[in-house]
Amino acid sequence: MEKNEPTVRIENLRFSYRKHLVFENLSMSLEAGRIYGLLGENGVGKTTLLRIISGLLRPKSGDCSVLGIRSSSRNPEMLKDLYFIPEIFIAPPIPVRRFAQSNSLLYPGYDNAMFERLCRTFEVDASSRFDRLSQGQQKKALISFALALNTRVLLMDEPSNGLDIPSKTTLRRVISECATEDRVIVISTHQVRDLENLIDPIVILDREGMILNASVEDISKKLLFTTAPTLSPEAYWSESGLNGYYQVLPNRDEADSRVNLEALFNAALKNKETFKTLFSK
Amino acid sequence: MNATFNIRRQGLTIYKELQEKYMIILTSIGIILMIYLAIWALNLIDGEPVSTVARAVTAATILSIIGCLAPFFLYKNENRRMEGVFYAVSPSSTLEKCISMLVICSVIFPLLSTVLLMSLDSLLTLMPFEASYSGSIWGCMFSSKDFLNTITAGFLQLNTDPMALNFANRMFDSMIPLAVPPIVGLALSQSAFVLLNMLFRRHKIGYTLLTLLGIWVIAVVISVISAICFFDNLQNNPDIDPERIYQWLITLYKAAMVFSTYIFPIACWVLTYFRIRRIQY
Repeated sequence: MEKNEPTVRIENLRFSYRKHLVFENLSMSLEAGRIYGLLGENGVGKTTLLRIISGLLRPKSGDCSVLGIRSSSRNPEMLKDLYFIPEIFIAPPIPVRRFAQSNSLLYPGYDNAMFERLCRTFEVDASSRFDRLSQGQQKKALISFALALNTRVLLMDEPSNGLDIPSKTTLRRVISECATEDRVIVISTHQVRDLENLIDPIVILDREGMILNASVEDISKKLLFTTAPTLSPEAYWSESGLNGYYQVLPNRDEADSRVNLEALFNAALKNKETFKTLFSK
Repeated sequence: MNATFNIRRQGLTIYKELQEKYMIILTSIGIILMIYLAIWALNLIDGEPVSTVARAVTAATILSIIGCLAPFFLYKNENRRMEGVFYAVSPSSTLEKCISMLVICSVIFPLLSTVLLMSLDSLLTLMPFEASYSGSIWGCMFSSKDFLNTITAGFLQLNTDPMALNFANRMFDSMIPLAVPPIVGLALSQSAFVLLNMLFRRHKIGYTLLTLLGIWVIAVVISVISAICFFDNLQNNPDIDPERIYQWLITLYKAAMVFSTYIFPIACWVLTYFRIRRIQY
């Protein structure tokens, strides 16, 4: 892999499930040191994209490379630096600790002490049988394992699904602690509020491809998230409330505002072409 | 590090899979031993002494049936979309995964189950019961000559027709150089089941039985047509030398043995390799 090359590079990707086209000419790159939030409506292909990046699915055409290696080749040199946490998985009928021991053998960066510490943080009993834990506990065990692998690419599909409120807080803290300069974490989620302060940049997908791939700083430079007593005709999206209208507006004066992911998502879906043009610059 | 094959990674892959699957291996072997013990108990109740031939055939049959089912237990989930994700993202190459499957299904499992079953049989010969087992069947499983001798001896007891005896002796002599020990035969016969296990995602055993039934029907149809042609030919040429017929049958038998013992298992393993490589999750 070349020095300035992004960790994940997707070029002109085309993918379909038989006749159902999911991606057509999708291009994007994911750089190290970031926690990407992958947003999109149901069925736009968030999980499919993560599966393509991890080599589980083969694109029909185009290219997806991870650390300079084509992901569909399932090259062990790439796979040892990548881990994928699926939204739904079938836990094997072995203790969590043994799962971690056997599955970590081929990952050079695995830190067992870190795994044990993360299990304690998430209050998961690593000596319990994996398949006998509750769904939330299973997910926390797998997240602990995945983070302890210290892979350079970590793909998480709906990691906060099935977690209780304190666990979601722990998840945010743990992920931000584990994010390093050489690591790219991609989180696909519908629960934008769960991970609002964690993810940056934001990638929003739609049925025709990608609407935006931009950092929170870039978004706040271009968009203004504000509440006003009257509805602006320029508003990309608005919602009425007790204090007036909460709106997403073009940020012409570069005023400061806090990016609201839910509002951003709704605005992006409502103004796809405008946003594509706005964020392609 | 070589992306296709690395000896250290291969060793770790086998070790990892054994750590995950040893309970299934031990349970399957436990079932084999229990069935053999149950047959022994039934023989005791029956009170008749059991010949070495009968024991060898019983042992080989039990080992074959459980051995053929073993891939369905050991690698049940590896090609499934949800359950197979951990297998697919594990950092070994397709070749290493395929070799690991071969080692576990066709070497470790048959060898371990055969050795333990033979040991149980030896233990049973030591039991001080009137109708207990006597003599060793170890040679039958590990030597093709011993196994064929045992089977031929059984055949000779049943058949006294001099022509049939002559034919059996000649067949036996021609089979010796090509025959493999039953333990190797057991290992080789698994190749088809490993392939079909990886080919079908659901109802694996059912689809495998249907496939084998289909192949059997086709083989029977071809054999019947060939036999009809052969006998037609024989009727048209009544002066044909019987020696030529013997030679022809022996050649046919040899060709079938070479195909089933060497070509077919190798082809199955090659196809398994490509199947693992092409699986989409």
